[in-house]
Amino acid sequence: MLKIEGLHAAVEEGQEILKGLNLEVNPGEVHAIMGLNGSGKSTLANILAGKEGYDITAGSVHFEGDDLLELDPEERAGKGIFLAFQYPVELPGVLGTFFLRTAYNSIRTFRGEEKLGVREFNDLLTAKLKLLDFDASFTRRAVNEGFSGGEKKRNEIFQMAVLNPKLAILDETDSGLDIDALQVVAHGVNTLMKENPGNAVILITHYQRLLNYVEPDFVHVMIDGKIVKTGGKELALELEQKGYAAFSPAAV
Amino acid sequence: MGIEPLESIRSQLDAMPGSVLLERQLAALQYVEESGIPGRHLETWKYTDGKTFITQTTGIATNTDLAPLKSLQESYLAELGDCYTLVLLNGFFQKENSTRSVPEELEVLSFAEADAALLEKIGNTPKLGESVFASLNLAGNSSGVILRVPAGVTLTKPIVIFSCVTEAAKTQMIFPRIFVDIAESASARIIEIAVSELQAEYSSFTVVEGLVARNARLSYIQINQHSAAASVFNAFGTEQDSDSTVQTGVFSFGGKTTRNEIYSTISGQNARSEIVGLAVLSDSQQVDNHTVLDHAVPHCESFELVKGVYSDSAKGTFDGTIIVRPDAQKTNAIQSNQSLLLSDRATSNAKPQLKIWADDVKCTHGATVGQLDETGMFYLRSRGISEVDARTMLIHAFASEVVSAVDQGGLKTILESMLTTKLADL
Repeated sequence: MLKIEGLHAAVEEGQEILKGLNLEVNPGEVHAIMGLNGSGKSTLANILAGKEGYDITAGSVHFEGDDLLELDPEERAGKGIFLAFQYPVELPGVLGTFFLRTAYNSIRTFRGEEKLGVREFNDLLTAKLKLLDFDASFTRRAVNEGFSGGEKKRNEIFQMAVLNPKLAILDETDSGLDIDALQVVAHGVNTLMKENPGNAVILITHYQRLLNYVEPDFVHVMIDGKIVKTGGKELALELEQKGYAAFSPAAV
Repeated sequence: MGIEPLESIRSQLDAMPGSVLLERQLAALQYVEESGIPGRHLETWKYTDGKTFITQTTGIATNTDLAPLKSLQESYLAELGDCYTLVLLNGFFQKENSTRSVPEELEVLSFAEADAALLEKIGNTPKLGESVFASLNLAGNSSGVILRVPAGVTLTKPIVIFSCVTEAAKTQMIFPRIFVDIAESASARIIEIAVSELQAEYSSFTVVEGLVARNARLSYIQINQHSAAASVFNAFGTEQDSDSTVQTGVFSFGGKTTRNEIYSTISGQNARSEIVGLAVLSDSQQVDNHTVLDHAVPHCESFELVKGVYSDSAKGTFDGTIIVRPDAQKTNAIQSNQSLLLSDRATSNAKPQLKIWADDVKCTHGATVGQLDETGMFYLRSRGISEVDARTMLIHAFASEVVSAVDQGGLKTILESMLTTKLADL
């Protein structure tokens, strides 16, 4: 599904952040990428979603055979990529339902499908709210405006549920959440994976905590712009015990 | 002074029969001649040259046939729903075209029908007399309209005033003038829409006066859909008594050069005044919003929200003053001006001013000028929304805050649709 080979990327000011990253994700898989601040995790997430401001100096990214780096962010969303933002953006004046319907129908149009009418779409929203056991009130407010940190993250999961991406990248969706909010997020991810077993998820995180609730198939340790070790879920525990230093290239 | 348009006003006044109003009109013309046409050397006209309002005109437009504008009016009315309708044509009040469902409790008079006591009030709203172009309107107007809502009457439907501009106004001046008198505990909502069949040069000088008595309510929203070649001057003067609420709104979509002057004077306690403004401009359109909110007495509130969206080489100016006089303790005044620049050539000037003499007041003001939020754009695009749609969504969200602030339910829909149309052109 996703194939990243030898990816090197720098911020436009010149500093290299990704230094030869390889990653392959197949349908149905849950991957966790763990790393310290500054290891390049968020840069990877942003590059996959198509954020401007990065120079790709070497390597390639393919998604279902397409050269992902050639596509605009909205085309990537159309192909089925979704980024849950580390810092979801507040959009004052943009109503949640309108935003979601526009996004949903834009993606359908991209795929050559008929748009959903207001009523049909509202039915879909209601079904998704029920699936995740979320309260409808926040879809009637402006997107993320005045939301607490937990509400913003929950809203990201809800958008993911509505847009039903083939590949969801959750960029530190767990950070800053209390245990209740963390469980809500984890429940959302697990429910959606169960509903759509052919989809895939990349969880980008600092801590092993989220992985108590969402079981990954693969855990990758990222240090200084590269994946230095890949293993099963037990690797997360090992990382928690030994610390990142044990995995740094110097130590290996 | 030898300015041709002023000569034409002089000869019009010379031909009029003597009246209380004529005296005042002659005085107004003299004031204009003595003051001269405002130019950039004046601090209050720093960003807009008043001379452009005069140089492209030769005289006063005449009263002509309304027929070509009927269908345009009907299309607005279809969207506005049930309302009372009045028509001004090239500044002349058209009583015969204004009969649509006007209720008995709303008194509608032309200036010619008004008695001396009523005429005495015209042109006396605070600060209007100091405005050169508002004075020019007083001198040049020969057919204004008076709206009176008697005590205790709440008009259930909005009053829609079509200020129509026809072919006959080409390179001419028009002087629409509306005087609104809301008696104690009465309430009215008024929408004034400027509609033009002319896509050519003309100068429109509109003056609206509002006297709002105790416990009364007035919402007056003006929508500027003038020709993109027109010079458009609007002055609004309101004076309100205790426990009253006044909302003055200006939505500037048309005009080449628009100057809005809004003078709100609060003379009675526990009153509230709101000023809302939105300009969405492209090409080389410009708007100059000049507002003065005067708190003369204690325990009053004011709320001012003026926004602008400027693309191409459009230009916006906001010069907003809040005066809090020594007696006006416990005043709560909020002023906000925000501009969104969509191109490198678009400009915005903001000059918020607080003049506060009382010591126990709450006054806040803020002015921001910015571009579209890149992070917001990426967020929307990452959800599959095209760059064009994302841009429109963010601009619309920015602008519709002003629409939401309008105190007239049914009007919001038409404002939203005008906004959508205008944004599609940006």
